[in-house]
Amino acid sequence: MPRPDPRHAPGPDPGVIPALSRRRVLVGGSRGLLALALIGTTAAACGSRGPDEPDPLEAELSAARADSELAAAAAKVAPPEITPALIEVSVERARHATALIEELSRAAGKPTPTPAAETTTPSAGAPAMPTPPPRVQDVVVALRRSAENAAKLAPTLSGYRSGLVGSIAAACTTAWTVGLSPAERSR
Amino acid sequence: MTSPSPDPDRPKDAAEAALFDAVVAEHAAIYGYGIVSAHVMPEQNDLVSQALLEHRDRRETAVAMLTERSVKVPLPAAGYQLPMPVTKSTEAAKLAIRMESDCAVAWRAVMEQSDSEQDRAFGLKALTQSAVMAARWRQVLGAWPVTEAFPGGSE
Repeated sequence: MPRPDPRHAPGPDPGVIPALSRRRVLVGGSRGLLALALIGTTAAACGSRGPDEPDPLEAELSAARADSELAAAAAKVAPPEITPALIEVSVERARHATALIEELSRAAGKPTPTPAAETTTPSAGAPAMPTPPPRVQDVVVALRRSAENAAKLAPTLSGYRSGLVGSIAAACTTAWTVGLSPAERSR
Repeated sequence: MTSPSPDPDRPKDAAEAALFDAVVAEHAAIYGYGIVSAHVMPEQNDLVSQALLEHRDRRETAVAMLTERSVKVPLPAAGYQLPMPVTKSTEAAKLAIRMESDCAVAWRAVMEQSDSEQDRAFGLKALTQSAVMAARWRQVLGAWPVTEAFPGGSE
């Protein structure tokens, strides 16, 4: 078995501290960028996007809410072994919604957008929730669509928004390919 | 996982620095997966191979992106300190998760700092690959939850 390079002989767990520092630097960097992102957004609101044109994050918010509700409804009727994974999906998509609301509010300079936007969601094509109850497969389909939409949008955004929607796209992809995958179900 | 000292070649420009950091993270992951490979169970060999392919592919692409901008490319470090001792398969899986998380952070930073839609698209691909890979290692480890809401992010 290879032994640690003696030139870099570890003290008490030395790797952790520089790694955390780097992470802090990155986090700090993205926070710093937030101010720039906000300026960019304001400029976009005054320029390319008309006052009546919706913020592109509105559709992301609607999808996140719809997916969260769909996964929660599916969790109620799903086989017990998949229930925790569906609840996790519901929780994560709710957290996406919260982060998107925060960003939308910051960009608009006012609190929370109207819930009316939900009627025009990309996930509105998902089966109506009360009858029949959604299956795991319905959640997979919805997450897949959300992942694709977020993945299309993220590179067109800049600054913090690009990273936020990028993380959301990555989370949706991971949720349907791993979180709700057969391997997970057999766990 | 980190290289021992900060690199004096790290560019001042934020977008270039983010790409530079991503290459550093990919170098470290490629080194670290050698350790992971040595300690995981044979059932995980395919996962290790796939991860290594992804990281090598991303490193080469990121190196090309830096070269295109005439930025000096970071070399792999002479030696690496592991963030944790790795002597058994569970520790190897934890190291893999840690490295995927570090790469996810680095690539999300590329998305946030870059002024190029093409580079942001590549950052997203890398971020997504690392998020999926981290989840698969958590599955191997039997860790819960398997997924996270904001890969590479701090929301």
